[in-house]
Amino acid sequence: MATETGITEAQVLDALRHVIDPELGINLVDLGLIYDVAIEGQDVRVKMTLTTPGCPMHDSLVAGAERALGRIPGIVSAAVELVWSPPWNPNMISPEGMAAMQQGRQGPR
Amino acid sequence: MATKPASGGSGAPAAAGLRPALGPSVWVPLRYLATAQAAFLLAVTWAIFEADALADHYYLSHTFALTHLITLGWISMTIMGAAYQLVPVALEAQLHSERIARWQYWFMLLGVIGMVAHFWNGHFNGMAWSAGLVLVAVLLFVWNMGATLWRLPRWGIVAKHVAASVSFLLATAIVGNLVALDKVLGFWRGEVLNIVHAHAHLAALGWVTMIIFGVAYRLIPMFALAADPDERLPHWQFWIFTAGVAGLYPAVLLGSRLQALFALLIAGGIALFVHQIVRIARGRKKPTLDWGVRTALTALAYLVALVPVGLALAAGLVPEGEFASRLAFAYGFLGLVGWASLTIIGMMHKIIPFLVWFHRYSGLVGTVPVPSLAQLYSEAWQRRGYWLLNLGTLGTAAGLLAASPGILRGGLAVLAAGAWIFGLNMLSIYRHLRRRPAPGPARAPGAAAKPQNTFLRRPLKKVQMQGGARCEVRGVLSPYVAAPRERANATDGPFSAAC
Repeated sequence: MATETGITEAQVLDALRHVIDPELGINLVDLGLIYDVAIEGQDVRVKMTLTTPGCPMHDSLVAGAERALGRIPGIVSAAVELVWSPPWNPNMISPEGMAAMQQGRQGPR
Repeated sequence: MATKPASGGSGAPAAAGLRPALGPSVWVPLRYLATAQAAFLLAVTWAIFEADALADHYYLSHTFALTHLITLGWISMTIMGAAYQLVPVALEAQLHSERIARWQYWFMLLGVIGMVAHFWNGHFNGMAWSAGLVLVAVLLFVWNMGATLWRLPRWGIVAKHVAASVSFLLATAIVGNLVALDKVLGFWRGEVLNIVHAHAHLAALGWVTMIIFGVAYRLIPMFALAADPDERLPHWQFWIFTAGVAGLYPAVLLGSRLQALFALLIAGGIALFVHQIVRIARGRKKPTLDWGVRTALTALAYLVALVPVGLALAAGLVPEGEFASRLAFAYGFLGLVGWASLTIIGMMHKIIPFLVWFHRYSGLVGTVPVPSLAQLYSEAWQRRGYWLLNLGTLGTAAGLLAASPGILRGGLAVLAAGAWIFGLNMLSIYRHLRRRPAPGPARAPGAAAKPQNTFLRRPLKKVQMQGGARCEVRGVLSPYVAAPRERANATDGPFSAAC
C-alpha cells in the first residue's frame, strides 16, 4: 500500500528483511516477528515481537530494525514497538523461512 | 531522519556499554569462560603424562590435582561465567552486581591455581589456604545469585533449579574446606574416603547436574524452536531429584544402606528430565539440530548410561575390591567428562558465539550484512571434535576400567585432540573480538571506493627527505604520522612518510 509520500509496506518489509536473527539465520519478516506496520506520511511504526521474552538478542534486533527502517528513502521517523501478545510460536515462521532453515542457510555469505 | 526508541524497551547496545539485555558486560562471562577453556586444555594435555598415576587408585595427590583442575577450573568456572550470562536471561531479571562478579573471578582464579599447585606438590597448608580463596569466591557467587533470585516475584522451574544448585555448591565448598583443613589438622583421623565420596556426589549432582537441568528447560526449547515444557512434570523432577541429592549426601557420608533409596530417587529425577527433553526434541520446529545441541544430547546419553552403574554402586551390588574401585573411577570420569564436559562443550558453541557476536556485530545489525553465530566458527571442525571427544572419552574410561596405562594414554591423546579442536574453534570465535574499522555509510552502486585508512605492510615507494633521510611511503595514512620536520615534504597526495 503506497502512501502520499510513496513509502510502501513492501518497502518497510524489504528493509526489515535485512535484519537477520543471528541464531536462526532467518530474517525478522520470515521468522514471523513483525506483527504490524503503520505508515503515516513519512513516519513508520512497526510492532514486532521476539522468539522468547528475555531473548538475549533483544537490544540487537530492535535497534537493528530501527536502523534498517532509517535507510528507507524519504522516511522521517521510525519507531519499533516491542509487543508480547500474541506470544510468538514457531508456526508463525513463513514457508520461505522454514525452507531457508531446512536448507541450512545461515545468514549472509 | 530521526529514529525514536521503541516503547518496548529497546536501547542501542552502544549506549548500554555493550551488554546484552539484563546481563552484565560481555567481558564478565567471557573472562570466566576463556579461563575455563584454558584450564580444560591444560588438564586433558597434562593427563596424558599422568596415565601411569591414573591407572593406579584415584586417591592420589596428582589425580586430585587433575580432578580439581577439571571440576573447579573447567566445570565450575564455566558454569559461573555462563550463569552470569544465562541466569538473567532465563529468569528475565537484572543481575544483582557486576562488581561482585568481577571480584569473584580473581578469588576463584587464585584459589584454583593454588589448590591445583598444592595438590600437585602435596603441600597441604597451601592447599587449605587456596581452598579458602575458592570458598570466598563461592560465597560471592551465592550472594550474587541469591540477591538476583530474591527480587523475582515468582520462582519458576529455572529459578528453583538455580537456587538449589547454588545451595549445594555452598555445601560442597564448605565440606571441601573441612577436608582441606583435616589434611592439616587431622581431626577426622584419616577416615575421609566417605567424606570425599559425599563431597564429589554433592558437587557433581547437586551443583553441576542441577544447574544444567534448570537452564536446559529454557535453552533447549529456545535452540530447538520448540514450545516451553509444561512445568508440572519438571516440578516433580525438581523435588524428586533434590530430595535424592539431599538424602544421598548424609547417606554416603555415614556409609548408610539408605544410599540405594536416595540413588533411586535421583534416577527417577533423571528419568523425568530425559523424558521432558525427548518431548521437547520431538516437538521441535527446527528441522535439524545443530552440533552444539547434538553434543549436549550425547552428553545426556552418558548420564543415562551412568544411572545403572550408580545404582549398582550405591546398592552395594559390586563386591568391594580392585574392580569396584576401578568402576567407581571410570564412573566419576564419565560423569565429569562424558556428561558435564560434553554438555558444556555443546553449549559453549552457542554461548561464546553469542557473546562475541554481540560485542562485535550487534551495533551493525540493520546497516551492513553481519555473520550469523554459526559463521563465527567451523562446523566441520566442530563435527570432527565431537567424534574425537567421544572416542577419547570412551577410550579413557576403558583404560581406567582395565587399569591399563597404554589404553589410558591412547584414550587421553584422542580426548586431548578433540579438546584442542574445540579450543581452536573457540579461538577462531575470539578473533572476531579484534577491533576493526567501523563501516562507513553505504555506497551507491557503482560509486568509487573511498581510500581505506590502512597502513600497508609493503612500502609503496621510497623518497629522499630534506636533510638526507630516506623514508618509506606507505599507503594513505594521514600526514601526521611523520615527524614535523619531514611532514612538509612527505605529504604530496594522500601519502605519509615513516622515517
